[in-house]
Amino acid sequence: MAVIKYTKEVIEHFKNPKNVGEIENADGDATVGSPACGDQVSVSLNVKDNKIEDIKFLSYGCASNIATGSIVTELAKGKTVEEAKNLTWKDAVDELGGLPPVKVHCSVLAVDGLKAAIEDYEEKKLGVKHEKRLDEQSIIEELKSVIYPKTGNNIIDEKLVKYLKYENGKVEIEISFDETDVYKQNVLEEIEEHLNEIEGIDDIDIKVVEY
Amino acid sequence: MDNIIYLDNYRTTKTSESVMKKMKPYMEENFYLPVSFTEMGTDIAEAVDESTDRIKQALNATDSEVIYTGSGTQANNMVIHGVMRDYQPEETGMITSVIDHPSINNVFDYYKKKGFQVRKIKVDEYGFWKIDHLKEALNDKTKLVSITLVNHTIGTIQRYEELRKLIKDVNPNILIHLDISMALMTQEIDFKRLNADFLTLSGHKIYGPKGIGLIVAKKPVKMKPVLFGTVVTSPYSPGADNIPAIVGLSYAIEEAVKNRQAHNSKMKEHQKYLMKQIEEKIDKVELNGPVEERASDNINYSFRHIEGESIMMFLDFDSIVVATGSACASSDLKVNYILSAIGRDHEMAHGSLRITPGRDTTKEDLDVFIDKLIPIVERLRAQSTIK
Repeated sequence: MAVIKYTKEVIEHFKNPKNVGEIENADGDATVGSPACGDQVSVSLNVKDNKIEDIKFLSYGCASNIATGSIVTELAKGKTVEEAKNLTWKDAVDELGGLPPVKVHCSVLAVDGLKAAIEDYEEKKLGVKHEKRLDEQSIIEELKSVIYPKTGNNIIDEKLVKYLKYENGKVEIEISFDETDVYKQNVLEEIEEHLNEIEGIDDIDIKVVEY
Repeated sequence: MDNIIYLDNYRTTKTSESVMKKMKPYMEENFYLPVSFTEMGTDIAEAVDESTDRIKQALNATDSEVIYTGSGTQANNMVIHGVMRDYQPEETGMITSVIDHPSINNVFDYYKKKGFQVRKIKVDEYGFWKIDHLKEALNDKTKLVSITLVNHTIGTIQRYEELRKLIKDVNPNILIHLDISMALMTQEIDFKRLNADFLTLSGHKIYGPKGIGLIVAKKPVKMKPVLFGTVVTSPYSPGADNIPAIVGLSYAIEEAVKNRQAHNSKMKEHQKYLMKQIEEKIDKVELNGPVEERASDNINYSFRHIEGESIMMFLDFDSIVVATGSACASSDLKVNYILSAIGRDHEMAHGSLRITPGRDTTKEDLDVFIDKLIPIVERLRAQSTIK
């Protein structure tokens, strides 16, 4: 049985989260996730001399969601914008001494929140336009944010996705699960959630193969 | 462990001391099985017979067949599979509700996949079966209806008699399976009066041991065996029986039935007190499930804008144990299907706590719980993205 235990770092950041709140008139802010999906994170930040001078977060979510919000903002604080952009969910998980596999997806959300807040800053303050490429490769990249709760790895590296095709706004995916896999529904919802956020995709067709 | 305030008795209960005492000899000197007419074998056979009689007495089930299983889940599986075993998909309808326990629900899903006519009756906002939906679902192919007397999440007491009458009026041969796992502690269980074809229950929900469940079947038994092996106590549950647990279960049932009225009144007091405290002291809360026709040992509230695992974890730091319907805390990360079925949105389901006091719960426990809960809800709301 998988260990259902939070490390003492997770517990500490959950009990006493750092950087909780909202910066008014922030240079960049973003909210990612949704209550419907179970968790939501808002990140707001101020940048001075290309460094993240102040950063705060709010969280609607479980213990690991709150703890990763805390650790990600801690990691980003004082870093250059470039450095902060390169933070990954693995950095956050490592810093917390690990997360149970079933909770890894929470750390992805916090990092997504940070990245979205930085993009917002770049658009608002620097006039940078973030034009998203939309092809099979970029969809695969996006699906690397979908974590398979059984292992804590993403579904692409887990080789769950057997087939992926993108054409004229339509994505076709074939994904395989063991008949007894309890995470099937969760993974399918996460895939839909991620693909729905990509502009330009208007039709998602997911075929599930059980074996 | 002494300082723990345990408010998760719907998950499992602590085996009662007296039950454990009765079990102990069967793990020590009386470790044998009822397999022969030797002294050792006969002693155990007598113990099993006495246990069975004790159960039949307590449940007014003298003319029934008592079958011991490995758990409540196994009992439900064995009844459903046992009834369905020789039917062909195209000729067979089976009915349960959308809020029944996974040990029923998931078995029905299996038959649905195989092409059986599976209907899951919708429930109203309090968790009661929609009668019109049931009427429409019943037909000449219906063979089995599985009903749960008390819902394991929101405590709804199903209007069983009304459902039973409706079903048997359509066709008296339709078999009724009634799961009383969460009901035995607070509801009067009289097998003759309930007039179901099968009752199922679980030992560990009623202060009995884990690893034991029960089927009480009306005679002649209208199911077929689905497990095969050496028959010891029953052809339906072959293999070496869990003798200590059988003995323990019988005493747990006897105790529950004997103390039911006193237990029920105590639970009612607790329930009334705690609901009043929560509603007076915390804003933006909503009761899940009915106020009336609700089991006295179940309380379930949704706390707006916050997520249940966080509340549960903070309570755990203060040694208070409750349960939540949050997807984040469930083993499959799915949003609670019962709260969804009664029309709660995702936020309400995620922010739900199931609080189930038990035999050992005191009013002081409830006061500590409330005192700790208030600041937890406040701080989580203060740091939430939803205002």
